[in-house]
Amino acid sequence: MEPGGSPPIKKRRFFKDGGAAGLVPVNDRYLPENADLVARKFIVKSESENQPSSPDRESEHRSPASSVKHETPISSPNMEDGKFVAGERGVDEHDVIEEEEDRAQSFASEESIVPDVSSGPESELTNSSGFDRELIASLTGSELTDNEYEILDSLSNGDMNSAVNAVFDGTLAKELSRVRGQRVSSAVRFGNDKASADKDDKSSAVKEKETVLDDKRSKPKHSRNWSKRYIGSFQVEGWATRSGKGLISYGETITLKRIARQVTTLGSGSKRFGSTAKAAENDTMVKFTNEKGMEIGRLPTDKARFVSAMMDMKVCDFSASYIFANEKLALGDAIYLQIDCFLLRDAFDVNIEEQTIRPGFHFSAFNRGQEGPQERLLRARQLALIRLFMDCGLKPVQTNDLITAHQARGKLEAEAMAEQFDVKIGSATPPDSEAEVGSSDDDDNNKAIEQDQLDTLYRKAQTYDTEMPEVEPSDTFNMELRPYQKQGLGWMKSMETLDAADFGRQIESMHPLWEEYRWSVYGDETPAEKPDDRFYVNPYSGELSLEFPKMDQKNLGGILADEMGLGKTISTMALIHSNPSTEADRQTKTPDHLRTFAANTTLIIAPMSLLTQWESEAHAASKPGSVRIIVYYGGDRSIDLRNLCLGPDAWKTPVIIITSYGTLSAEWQRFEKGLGNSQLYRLRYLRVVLDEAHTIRNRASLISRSCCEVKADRRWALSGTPIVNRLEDLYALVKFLGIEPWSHFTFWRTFVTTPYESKDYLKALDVVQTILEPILLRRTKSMKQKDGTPLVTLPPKNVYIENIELTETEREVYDLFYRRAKQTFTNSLAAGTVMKSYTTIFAQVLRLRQSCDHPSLVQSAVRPEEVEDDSDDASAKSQPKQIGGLLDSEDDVSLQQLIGKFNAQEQEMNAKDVYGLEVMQQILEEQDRECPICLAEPIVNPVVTSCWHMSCCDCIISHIKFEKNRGQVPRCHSCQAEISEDQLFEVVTHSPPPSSTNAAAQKPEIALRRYKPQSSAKIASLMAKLKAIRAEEPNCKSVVFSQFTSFLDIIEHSLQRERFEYLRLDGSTQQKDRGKILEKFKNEPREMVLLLSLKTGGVGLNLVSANKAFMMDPWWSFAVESQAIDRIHRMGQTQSVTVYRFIVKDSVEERMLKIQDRKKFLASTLGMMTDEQKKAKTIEDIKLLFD
Amino acid sequence: MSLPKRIIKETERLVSDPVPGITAVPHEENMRYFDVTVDGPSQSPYEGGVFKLELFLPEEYPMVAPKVRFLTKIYHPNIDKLGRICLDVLKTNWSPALQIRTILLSVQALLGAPNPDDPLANDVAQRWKEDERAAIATAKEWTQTYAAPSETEA
Repeated sequence: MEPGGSPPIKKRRFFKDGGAAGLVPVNDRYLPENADLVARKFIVKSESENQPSSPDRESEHRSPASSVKHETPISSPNMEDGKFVAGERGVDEHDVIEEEEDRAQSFASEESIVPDVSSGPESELTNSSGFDRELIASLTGSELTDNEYEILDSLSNGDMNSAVNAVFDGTLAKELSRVRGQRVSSAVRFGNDKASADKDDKSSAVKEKETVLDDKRSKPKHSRNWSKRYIGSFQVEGWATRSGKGLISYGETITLKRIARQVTTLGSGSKRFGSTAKAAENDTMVKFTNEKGMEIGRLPTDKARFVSAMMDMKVCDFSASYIFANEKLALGDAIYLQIDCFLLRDAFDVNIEEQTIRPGFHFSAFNRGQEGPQERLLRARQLALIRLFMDCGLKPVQTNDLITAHQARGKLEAEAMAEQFDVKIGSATPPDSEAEVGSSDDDDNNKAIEQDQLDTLYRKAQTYDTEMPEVEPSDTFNMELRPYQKQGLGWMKSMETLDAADFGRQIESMHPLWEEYRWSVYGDETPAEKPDDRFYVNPYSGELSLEFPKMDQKNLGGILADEMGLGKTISTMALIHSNPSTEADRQTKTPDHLRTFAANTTLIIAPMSLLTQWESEAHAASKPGSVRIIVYYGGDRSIDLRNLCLGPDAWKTPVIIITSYGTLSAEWQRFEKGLGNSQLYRLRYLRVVLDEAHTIRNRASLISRSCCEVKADRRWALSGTPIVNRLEDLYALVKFLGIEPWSHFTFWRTFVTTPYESKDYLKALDVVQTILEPILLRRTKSMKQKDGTPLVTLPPKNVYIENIELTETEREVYDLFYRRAKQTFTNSLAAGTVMKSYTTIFAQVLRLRQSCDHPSLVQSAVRPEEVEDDSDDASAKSQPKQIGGLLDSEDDVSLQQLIGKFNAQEQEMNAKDVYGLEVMQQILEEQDRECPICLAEPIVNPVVTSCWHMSCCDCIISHIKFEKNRGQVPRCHSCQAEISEDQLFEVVTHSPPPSSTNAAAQKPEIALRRYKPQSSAKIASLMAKLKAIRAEEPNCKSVVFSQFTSFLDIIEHSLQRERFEYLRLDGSTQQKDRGKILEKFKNEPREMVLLLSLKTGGVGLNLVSANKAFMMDPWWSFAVESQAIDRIHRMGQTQSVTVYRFIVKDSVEERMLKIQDRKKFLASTLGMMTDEQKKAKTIEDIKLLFD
Repeated sequence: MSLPKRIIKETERLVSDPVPGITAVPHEENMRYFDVTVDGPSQSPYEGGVFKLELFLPEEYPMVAPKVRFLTKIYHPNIDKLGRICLDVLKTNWSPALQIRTILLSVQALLGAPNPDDPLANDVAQRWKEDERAAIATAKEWTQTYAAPSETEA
């Protein structure tokens, strides 16, 4: 064993590295004559010709320590390995025999070829690389890519022999992986050049297989380093493929050999060889041969599967010894073997993680829960390892407590997966791998998370503790924090603080994903002779390591997932102000890191549309001059960030750099290619904050990767919706935050994706919850603070009661209905039949209420065929005929006449057509002046007299009434000409749509309309209010509620008249249209009125874009109205809300208000009353109405 | 009872944009009641005099005219001993479009143009018709006697 532990850079040991010296004597004894010759030839050549160049080459990429070792005499094997040689010998000898036997045939002729080529004319079949590619292909038995040839060329300087040697001794493979490694580490890891990555991978797969073969040929290799170490043994019951007697004898060494299809068709089949992972999965047969090299039997499939995988992937070497079998073997007889397992040194060199995160490989659909072929291979390796360890009975010496529980589960998981694996293999025809990965996974893996699951998840993850301590922000923070925001700040600060215990622990603590294993003692070794070293396995990725896998530094930061509107931005600003870097931040850094550490800078990455908002918020939140804020975006990237952030002038240092996702990923692409200006990546920030962090949810996207690559001590993700539609979304955040161990996709996959995909939602969600709980803070608006008050208080709401004076005619109608209703009620009260005539009474009260809105609403009472739609009272609806019949005919006539007045069709005339332009001009000008009567400015509802004098409508009407009342002839206020009500004209100005820009269209259009005094008082009042609002708050949106859709019809008509834009939603609105209507109302930037029936619109809707509500008629219980008002006055409302309740003076409506007051106290008991009780209650209410 | 917007507006304007020769100041306890002074128009028998009037805005104002009365004794055919004024715009020709300002201007104009044909003070009117010069002299005399700007007011 190498003293002083494992070298920092692991290296492979190959044939030429002294392997020759160790090998020759061994082989001398066993190899057949001709094979020996071949072997010797190669050895000699490799020593004589390759040796001189090798130290130089190796020193390029090996640590000095190992190159020093390399210079020690090749002929003297490392004594520490000496012990191993004994153990290995048995295996290797047989291996070699087997190999040589095979090769003896195929290489029989090569013996003569080799010298020929090395001396012969190279020009014959050569190309630019300087030697014959085909020859190399036939010699090495594998086709190499152009790329490999080039490398080969440069390695061997065009010399054929050294080239062939380079292929066999692994120098080529090493060089390849080095080149690839360079590319990876020089950050082409995520390069767009998929094709080349693809090719690389394919060729490396070829290489991989090749080296398996090569290694077998060149074994045993002895070096100063060990090449493999024993980990354990297991017994296996193989089955005989040959019958006969005395095929094996006890103690005879058995050789395990892969029978891969590819191996049998060596030369020509090599193209197929490295193609698909799937093929490799199905190809698991392992045969074993006796000392004579005769195949005796095969391993059972369950063992063969992982044994073959381990062999193919060059993770493990196996040696077998015969234990027992029938002396006379029959086909299929059991042969008991003991198999000893040796981990290969080379297996520790593979950097799994780098391969795992190479997306875009092979197919474009690589994302989210899907795994690429590469990942599939790795998973196969992981599974095989786990099975191997299980079978060997290997137990970890040390695991991380943190996830012991998970691990137990994880192992089971692996088994489950392995079983799945079995099923797949069992299925007769393996589907084409790419098709399978591409299509079927699409359906299964990409299943979106259901909303209710999401709710559960959030609910679980919402661990908002009202007792959380509040932390005051620093003095430089210029805003007032709400209590819950102070709690948030406290949490965020604590998430950024590495407490002492953590600090101490992380130094000696093992990475939670890893397990520590002790090497087993093999054969006659005594434990004392072996240094007590260990090796480490990551059972989730299948990674092996000789170095102690240290736990990564505890990650600082987390996810702030407060609901929209709770002030994530403000909380972040408070954090930036209140938690600057400390000395500890510097102390924990390597000098390298310190050089790029922008200790005062927070990088904020936000969607482009929010950059300005962030900037202004950042300024608003900071005391003037306290922080420097830079927006790094678009063309404005000329600043030298590095100089600013690291420069000596502290005051210049930007505390906040705001950039967009787009800018970041653009810089990342440049940085990756090593091009141009990529300033953002040259720094290590104190803190990085992702706003709307769900932007990065696709882990394979450029944006996602760009963000993960930003170097910062403290990492924060802000998002109101950390999971948009699938659990994988969260992975990207976890990855960004670097939450161990979850940021390893293999781990995430095992615990989250796989259970979720296999419909074990509870388990997956449970795990996600455990992940989220410590790193996520989410408060919702519905949460209450300590004192029971909501987290967010709404803007004020003012409710005004508009007292409506009925017009004379309205009053007549109302009084008529009132008398009648009261009559009915008192009569039935006297007769004691109140309960019986309940419906009748109730219906009459309904008429009464309707007549307060507009007299034409009660038409149905007179002409019963018109049924009103949304009366909220089914009983009234079903009875119209009966009620109609209750009216005596004489009344009907007068009533019809009265109501008829309200139905007269209104006509508009365009003033321009009827009158001269001068008149129009005059009207236009006068309109802007003050009313000569009330001095109001401008005139409210302008009206012109027949002598063309203008005033407010109300002014002139009251003037006319006044004069009439005192028996005078009304005269014009201006010219004393006689005037009358029916000779008045309303001036209707239709403002052109604001969108039109040409000047001509800007001129308002004027129309005159004969004044119609018979409008309902409520409508008149509503219109006046709406117009007043239009004047005061130009783009204000209003919602008008009424219980009666027939009243909404009338309002609709009035709105049309006044050219108000409006939308309407009532019980008859189709469900599919509702969404559209609400969407339109929400998105309309200008003035808009929404007509809503109280019943339909009262519940659930969110109408916060409006801030004015009109309640056209009262309901028996205020709770219902209040519900409706809450549509507007709810979370998200930013403006103060004004509510107008229209109540007709001296009417049932006024009394209903009193009933409402009474009901407020009874509301809670209402639910428990029977129908009869309710009726009685209502009768009581009605009694109040007629008092 | 709250004051209608119109009255407030008129009062404000009387202060901010006063009519030359006329003042109108509302009483603090009753904003509908104004103390008014009108200067006698030049080239009239009332020149040099400052006449005090009271003006009251009735509840119906502006549907009805304000009530205006001279407090200062004045010798004028259209103004009686009690200071009542015979002016068409205060009676039949009132229009809600008229204002305190216009009414007072009319009153001032009335001083400059007495109309003995539509008398209120019949004796004065008769005298005016029979001997206009003497009547004017009396008017001047009265003005000096009763309407001379007082020391305190000056």
